[in-house]
Amino acid sequence: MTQQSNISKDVNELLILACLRDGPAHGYEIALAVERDSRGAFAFQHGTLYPILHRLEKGRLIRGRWDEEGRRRKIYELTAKGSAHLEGASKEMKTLFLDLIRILEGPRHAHA
Amino acid sequence: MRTPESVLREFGDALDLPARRKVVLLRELRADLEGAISTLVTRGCSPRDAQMRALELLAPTVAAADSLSGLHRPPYVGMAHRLPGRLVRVLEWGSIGGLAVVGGISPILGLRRISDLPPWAAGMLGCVILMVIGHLSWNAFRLFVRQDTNAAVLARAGETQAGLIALTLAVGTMVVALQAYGLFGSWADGRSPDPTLLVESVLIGTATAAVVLGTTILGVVGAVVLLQSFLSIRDTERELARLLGLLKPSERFDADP
Repeated sequence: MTQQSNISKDVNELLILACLRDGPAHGYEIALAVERDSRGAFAFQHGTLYPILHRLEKGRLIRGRWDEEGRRRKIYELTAKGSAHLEGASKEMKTLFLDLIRILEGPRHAHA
Repeated sequence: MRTPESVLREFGDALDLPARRKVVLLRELRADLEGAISTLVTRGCSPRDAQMRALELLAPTVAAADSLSGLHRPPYVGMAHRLPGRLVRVLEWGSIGGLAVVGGISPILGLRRISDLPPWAAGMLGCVILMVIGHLSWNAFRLFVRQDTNAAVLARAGETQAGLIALTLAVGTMVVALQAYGLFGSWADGRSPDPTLLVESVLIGTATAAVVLGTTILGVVGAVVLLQSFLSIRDTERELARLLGLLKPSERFDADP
């Protein structure tokens, strides 16, 4: 169960980091982009985005600043630390999911 | 039906944080809600659907608010919550009584020298002064932690300054009384002043004057800090009220800040 929660937490964090790889974005832009790019498979419902964003900011994986143009909005960008974390964690996640798929498909598919 | 204003109010209520930190989180949510609604409308949603979708996506649940409170809560807030209320109450009443005692006995003390006081009385006086200082420090700490214009907190902060001034006055009275005794006590008996007594009075007077001066400076600086805090907190509270739509209709959600 803990492993499941950790995977979910890691996936959410990686989705945000991957979204910010394309450039700085506001919180709502991240939420809309993740939903659009995953064609609805992933969505940050009910403000679950904010605790993750703020945790990443506290861990210095992303940096938040106030955009002073027009209305004051908080904009987030990826830091060098966040970029390195994204790269490493993406590889780990890929390995994990490939292992999972191999198990789900069974030994016959694995050897095919 | 939920609206951005009601969501902001619920979120504000759910956040267990000092006002200044609350404002930052509310400001971010409010700006994001506006941005999301505007983007969804541009993509072809009706304003009503855009609002519903934006709220569904971004309006934080109580669990999300708790999680954010945990991330942003300053460590000293937890410490203030953990202190037992009864102990604080005893300290408060004790120090109010202490202030009265210090103010009341200081002229009487002037009729004797401090060194003539029996040990129990000197100990009691020391305890009272410690209690008063403890109480004043506690109030200042609480104002710092709460950071809001709650009437009770402000009243206690005012009490802090009043306490410092009372302490200054009480110690000042002691100085005057002791010096008067040292200088004039023996003259009243028809004898010339005892030089030892005079030196002792001057020493006691100088030491006490230093305490009075220190307390006065502390009182004045404290009053200035209190005023500054009050102005800063008032601005924060006004922004909080504006964010929560508690001000005039012109300052509600749709109005520019």
